[in-house]
Amino acid sequence: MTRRVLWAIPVLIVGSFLMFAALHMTTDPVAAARHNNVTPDALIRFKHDLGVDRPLLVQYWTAVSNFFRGNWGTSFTSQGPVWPQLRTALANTLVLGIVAGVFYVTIGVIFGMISAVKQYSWFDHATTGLSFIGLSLPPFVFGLLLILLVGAFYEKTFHSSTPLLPFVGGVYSPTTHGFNLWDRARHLILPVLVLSVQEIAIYSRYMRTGMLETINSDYIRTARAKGISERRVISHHIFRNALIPLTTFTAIDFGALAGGLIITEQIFGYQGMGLYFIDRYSNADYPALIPWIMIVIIFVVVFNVLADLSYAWLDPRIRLD
Amino acid sequence: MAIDAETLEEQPEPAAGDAVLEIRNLEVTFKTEDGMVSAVRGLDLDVRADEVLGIVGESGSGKSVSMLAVLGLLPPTATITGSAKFRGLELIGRKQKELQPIRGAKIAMIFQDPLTALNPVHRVGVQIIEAIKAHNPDMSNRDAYNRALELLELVGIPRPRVRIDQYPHEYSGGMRQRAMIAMMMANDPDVLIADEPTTALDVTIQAQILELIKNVQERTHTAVVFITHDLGVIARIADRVQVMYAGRTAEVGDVETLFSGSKHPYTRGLLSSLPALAGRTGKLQPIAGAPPSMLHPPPGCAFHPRCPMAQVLCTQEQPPLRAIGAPQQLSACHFADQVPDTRPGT
Amino acid sequence: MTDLQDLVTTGAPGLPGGDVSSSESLGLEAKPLSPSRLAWRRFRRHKLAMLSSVILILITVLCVFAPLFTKYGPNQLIRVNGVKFALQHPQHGHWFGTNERANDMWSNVLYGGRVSLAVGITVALASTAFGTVVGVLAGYYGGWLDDVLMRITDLFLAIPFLIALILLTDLPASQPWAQTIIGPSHSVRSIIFIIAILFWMPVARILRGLVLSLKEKEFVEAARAAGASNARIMLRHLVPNCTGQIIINTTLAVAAAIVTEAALSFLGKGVDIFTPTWGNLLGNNQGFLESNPALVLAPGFAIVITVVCVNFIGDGLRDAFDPKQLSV
Repeated sequence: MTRRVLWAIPVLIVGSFLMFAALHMTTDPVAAARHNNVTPDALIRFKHDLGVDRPLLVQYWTAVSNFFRGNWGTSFTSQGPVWPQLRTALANTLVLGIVAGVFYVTIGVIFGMISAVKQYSWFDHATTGLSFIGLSLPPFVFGLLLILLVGAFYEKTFHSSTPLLPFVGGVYSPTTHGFNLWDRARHLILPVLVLSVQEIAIYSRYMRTGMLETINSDYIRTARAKGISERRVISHHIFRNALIPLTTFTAIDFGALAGGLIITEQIFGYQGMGLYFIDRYSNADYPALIPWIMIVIIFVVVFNVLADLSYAWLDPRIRLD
Repeated sequence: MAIDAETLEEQPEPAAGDAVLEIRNLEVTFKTEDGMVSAVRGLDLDVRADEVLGIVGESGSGKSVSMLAVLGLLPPTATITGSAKFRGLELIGRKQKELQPIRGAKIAMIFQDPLTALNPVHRVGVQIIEAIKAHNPDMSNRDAYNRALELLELVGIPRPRVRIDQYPHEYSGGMRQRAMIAMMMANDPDVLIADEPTTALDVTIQAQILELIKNVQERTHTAVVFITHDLGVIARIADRVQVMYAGRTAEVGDVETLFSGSKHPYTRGLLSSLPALAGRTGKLQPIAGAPPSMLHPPPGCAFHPRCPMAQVLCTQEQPPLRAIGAPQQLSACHFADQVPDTRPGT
Repeated sequence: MTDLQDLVTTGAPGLPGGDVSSSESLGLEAKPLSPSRLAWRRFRRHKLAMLSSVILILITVLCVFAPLFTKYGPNQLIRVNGVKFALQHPQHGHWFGTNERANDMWSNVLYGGRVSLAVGITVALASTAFGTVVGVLAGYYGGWLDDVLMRITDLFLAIPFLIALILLTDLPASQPWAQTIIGPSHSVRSIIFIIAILFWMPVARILRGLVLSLKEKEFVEAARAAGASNARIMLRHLVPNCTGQIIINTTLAVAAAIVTEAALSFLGKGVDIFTPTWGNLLGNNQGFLESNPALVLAPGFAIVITVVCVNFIGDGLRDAFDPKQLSV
């Protein structure tokens, strides 16, 4: 077990290095810095900070140590410190991810459980059919479809001048200032739906398969043969065992959140980590991108480790490894 | 009448020799994608108090399915008709909820592979206590815990205080089966069904488990139904034997009669394929052919394609189970009287 | 070996013989079908999978033989009465309308389908092949090879998928060595290569698991005892037992690859705009969602239908190869 956890560190290092290297190879920070009309002083400082003519590994090391020390420098794009904008982007993505996650995991798991327990019922067939369709609706298709529906279609049919649900402005309407829960919630609805349609399908199929495998296990037959109530069989034996792969799956899914919502954010102009990356990337905004890379990869690795740990916690057979 | 604890308690304790479980004309069919499969095609079976009944048959003979049907443990694709009376109470056709007071408390069942039959994520003690508390909801946790310890000791598991908190994968194969027995004997059932409990174990462990079951039976006077395909095991543990073939009974009798004076060609075939009985000079005589497809069972007597005594009648009519030979012996063969007497070893 | 023959005699000793011949009856079981025929029979039973296969074949034919079904090229500028016939709504002669460059959308979707389908199939085949090799080797040899391979898999999985794709697709533009290996920047070949590199890991994992469990089975021991070399065991014994899983994976990978290419192209990072694919059509026409929805719905619909069909086929295959899998 500890072996697997320890492996996380080299993965973290090598992974972030690869991304750093790729970034370096696909963009030229110096040229981009000049292109952005950065002041000569800032440019010299930047060159000094990064040591652009030093070997790649050294640059990487400098960048990483700066990251961990909190020297994140100034963004080319915003001409201001990196942290506040990155923090906002991270927060926005996390809000969207968690709200959507709670929604689709709950529904997906419930649907999957019912489908498994009532296999071949009308509910099962209906959810299966819907799942196949949901699985085939990637965010970029479904998102545009929804926008069409709540926008042009709604406006034409109901003679409205505004869409049913907002889909521009991202987190808030352009006219909102400061914190407005209602506005924020309304702006979350469409992105959450777009993310959820595929994920509900995935989770319900996954849960269904996992539960069915468990349901048909010998130990369930033994449990029933003991004469315990069906409710207890479902909660203590079927669900408890199906939980194992589900928890791991969810943990990994959440780990992918930080860098993973690019398309949805792009469609709705939602100012999260994905949009942040796209914007900064086209400007080769190194100071802004390096902390982004580190945060995203740390997120993934941490949640993968959590996934492994939770697996061991839930399945005693693994613990002795 | 509904089944509940009180109804059962009102019944008089069965005396030795009384039938505790009476199965009549049990039929089980499964709906499969290839069609209807008849796993059990008219089974009559008695389990008497304080006896060990061995059920012998090849794979597909319906021996396990019939017992699972009695306890209602078959999947919904199964259709069950017929009667199975436990101390006068009809079990067939009951809803799952109605069978719960019986399962694990009056009729218990242990299974073939203890590794997969125990839940890997719960400690063994927890699973035993679960069985105890399912039928004794008012028992305190402390009492249930102590009872579980008692049971582990009873089945011969060393260091029960340590073992009770361990997980199934930390037990050896034999120990797991002992734990299963402990779990299922927790509530002193009237009938213990053992479905091939030793098949998945080493030969030496097999012997230990057989001993254990015998001891438990002698101590508690529980009726035991021992399902197996191994005649050697039958010889060691059974009082009476029921031989099944293709979902029906071929022969019933007490164990000595069956081994020395069987009146059914199938049983004879089984016996001749035993190395011990083939004698020193003997060649093994396996029964030719393979067990029939239960999708399309042969007409008449299901054994006729493999039976050296088969006549035209055997392809047309299913032979009824008739008394023949020794007292209490029954055979389902049109020509049972023509099966000669023979002693093992010749 | 002949001794066994001597040992087998029909009938138990001492029993009177019967007068019914049992030789035909002995063969009561129907002649067993080969696994592939059994699988095909089970696949046929899955109605949705059969229907999807038909639809998919139809789509493929339409795309591959596009010139038969449309008279315009994908980038062909259409003039009517000397005026650029741009942004037209669906009408006779232009079933999906025309885009802002006065190209016929129906043609674009058909020709775009060629690329999308080609990408899907090639990526699926290449990544599954590579993943199978890695997985089988890792599972069979175990030890340090397994460790290394699994660590590499972990590594690839730690990097966010789309980000990695975006970074890689931009690589050939600025790095000549990348251009030689991967292909010209944002060409179909480069996209295929890049998606494939990031697609093989799950396959490797699954195959490794399969091989690990098969390795312990008796037929492997028997083969080894008969003197089979490692290579032979892997090729003749292990891999054939994994074919079901391999085929299923390949099929589902096709759908995933099509979606991935579409996602990339949608972001503008996939195939360049002059080679239409369903993805870049969708991305390019986003802005006309309100004014001319057909431009968006057409490629979107194409993607969804194709992916649904492939998924159903994948499900049918799952039923065909392992009916105990408990899917639909």
